[in-house]
Amino acid sequence: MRAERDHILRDVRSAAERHPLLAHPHDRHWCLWRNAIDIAAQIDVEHRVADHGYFSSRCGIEERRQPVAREKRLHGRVSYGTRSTLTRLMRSGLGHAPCPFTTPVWNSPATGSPSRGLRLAGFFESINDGAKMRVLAVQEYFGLAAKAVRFMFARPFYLGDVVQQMDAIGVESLGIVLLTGFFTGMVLALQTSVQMAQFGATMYIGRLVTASMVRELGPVLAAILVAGRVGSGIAAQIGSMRVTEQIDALNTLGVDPIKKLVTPRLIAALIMMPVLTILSDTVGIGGGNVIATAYVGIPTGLYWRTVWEQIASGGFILHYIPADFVQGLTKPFVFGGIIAITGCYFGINTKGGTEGVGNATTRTVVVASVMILVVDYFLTQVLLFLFG
Amino acid sequence: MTDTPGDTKGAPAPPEREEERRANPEEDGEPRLRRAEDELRARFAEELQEGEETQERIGASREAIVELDHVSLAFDRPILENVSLVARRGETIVIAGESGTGKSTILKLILRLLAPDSGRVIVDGEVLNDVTYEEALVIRQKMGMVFQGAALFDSMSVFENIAFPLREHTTLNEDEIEARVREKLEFVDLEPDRVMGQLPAELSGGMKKRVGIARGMAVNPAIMLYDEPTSGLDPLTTGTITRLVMKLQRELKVTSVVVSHDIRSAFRMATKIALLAERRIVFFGSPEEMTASQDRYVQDFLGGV
Repeated sequence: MRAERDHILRDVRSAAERHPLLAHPHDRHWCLWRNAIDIAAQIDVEHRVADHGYFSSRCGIEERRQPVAREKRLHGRVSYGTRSTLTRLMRSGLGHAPCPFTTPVWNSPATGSPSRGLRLAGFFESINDGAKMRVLAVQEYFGLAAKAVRFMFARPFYLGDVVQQMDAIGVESLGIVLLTGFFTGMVLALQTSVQMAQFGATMYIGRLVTASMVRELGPVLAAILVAGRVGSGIAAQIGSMRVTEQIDALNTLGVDPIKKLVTPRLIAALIMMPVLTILSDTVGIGGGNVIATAYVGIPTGLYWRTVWEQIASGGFILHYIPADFVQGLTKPFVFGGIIAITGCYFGINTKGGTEGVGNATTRTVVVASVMILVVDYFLTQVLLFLFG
Repeated sequence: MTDTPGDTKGAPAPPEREEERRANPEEDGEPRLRRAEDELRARFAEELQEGEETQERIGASREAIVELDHVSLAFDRPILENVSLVARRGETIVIAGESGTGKSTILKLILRLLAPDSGRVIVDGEVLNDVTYEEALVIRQKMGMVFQGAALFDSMSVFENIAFPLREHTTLNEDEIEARVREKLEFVDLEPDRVMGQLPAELSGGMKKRVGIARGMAVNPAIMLYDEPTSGLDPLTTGTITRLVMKLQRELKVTSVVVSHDIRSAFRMATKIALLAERRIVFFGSPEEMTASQDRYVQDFLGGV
């Protein structure tokens, strides 16, 4: 075995070298020894494989022109900002050449059994293309957000739509947000009372409930509920407008769909999320009060005094504004933006009829919820750094 | 405009071939074609007659208003290849062809919802290839589009749907808007008082189409584009919608581009018919020329009707 391996190594090495025998192609009797020249003939095939490999990258991109086409359609119909550098590169450099090979190289009969190197190349290529698509999607997402923000400051303002969306996003979510806020406050008080009782520190229930609700649970819970209720609604509504050509109709009537559909939803979400969070916090702390008084036996006055102590302990900004409030209201503002833009993004990119609408809805809820939790962490880091 | 460069309508045979053909008619199958032409004429006599009358009344001018000049477009596969056609002011162009041949894409190109990969699209003297997105929004106000499924905004009432473009692009006050909405609804034979307050979901398919037409023509555009205006409708409603399109071109002298595979209504309303097959235009000419065409595909297409 060892000897054979050495042979192979030698053969391959000598084939790869610029062999002096190549200058004398008449020396065919060397072939009987299965020497370098013989291998060289096979290497010729291998070189073609290398060429295939090169072309396969073109095929890969050619086959994955879908995102380019999609972006092109978006530019045509909706057009978020400028065409991406990546798209331009793909279009100008490789996009237009017709793909010369239809079968993937690593399955090509010319190559026999797939070599490990080629399989690896194909694997990396698919990763590469996948990454490009994701980069494009992220770019589209932020392009949409930027355009929606820019339209906030340009006429016409569609105030009617903003009010209607504030009703849909804010008022209609009120019940569910208040209910969950109340129960979260109660369960927080209940859990902390059990823990605190071990140290005889049950009088600090108010402080714990407040710190948790104002800084974290209030904003995050409200945002995740609104993402589920409103984000999905936005995606479904805009998605069905897309599949019934209503977005095209807006475009043909000379109205930018982002301005008419996305901006009002974004404004409404940016205003209503902090409002919902304030109410959720208040009700949550109220729920804590109920448990603290009824179950643990802490007087309401003492409970609210500890609540205030907690708020004041975070310090004040500009002498009057508690730092905890600033932290607690920056988050819902950001989350509101995430919910509205994610819903609109998946809604606008809906394709494939009613099934597409369903997919857009699901994706909105998943992506928005995950984004809320991830962004929450980083935002907390930043806010703690700024306000302690 | 039968001499468009992209036009691949059968060119007249050279004289010597013509003589051979006369000498040996059976072999060439000319009588068969002649018979087919007569047959087709007889079959579409009524529509052709009506079409001629319409065209006389319109008196289409020679000025080109919509022009596609060697347009090609591809996404993940080619959609259109080297397509050229011209609509002159007042004309009605019907783009016919099988499903999936890129008919509706032509409308999207005219509206600048899509940009061609090569070639030019010119609307009312402006080359759409180079316009920005914002400029395209303004140019689109010259055009009214009627979508296949009407594409009425379902959160708005019929009145708000038709008033929408007026509120966006005109300075009319509420009374004037209401007067205009009533006028347009009456034009499409709907009773304003009955339908104005209804939501699109409460309307029948034919009514939706009519409201769609009313919305498209609300700002009195110079060009009307129709995407399959008669598809999915019963024969009676199809007739009503066809008559409506003709009334629009007769009374308001708008240029129309109609995408349709309904060749009967195409013959009734078209000045020119463009037949798309396999991403290309295989025929572009008047309905008369179409029945006379000896192109095998055209014959097959008409024969299959």
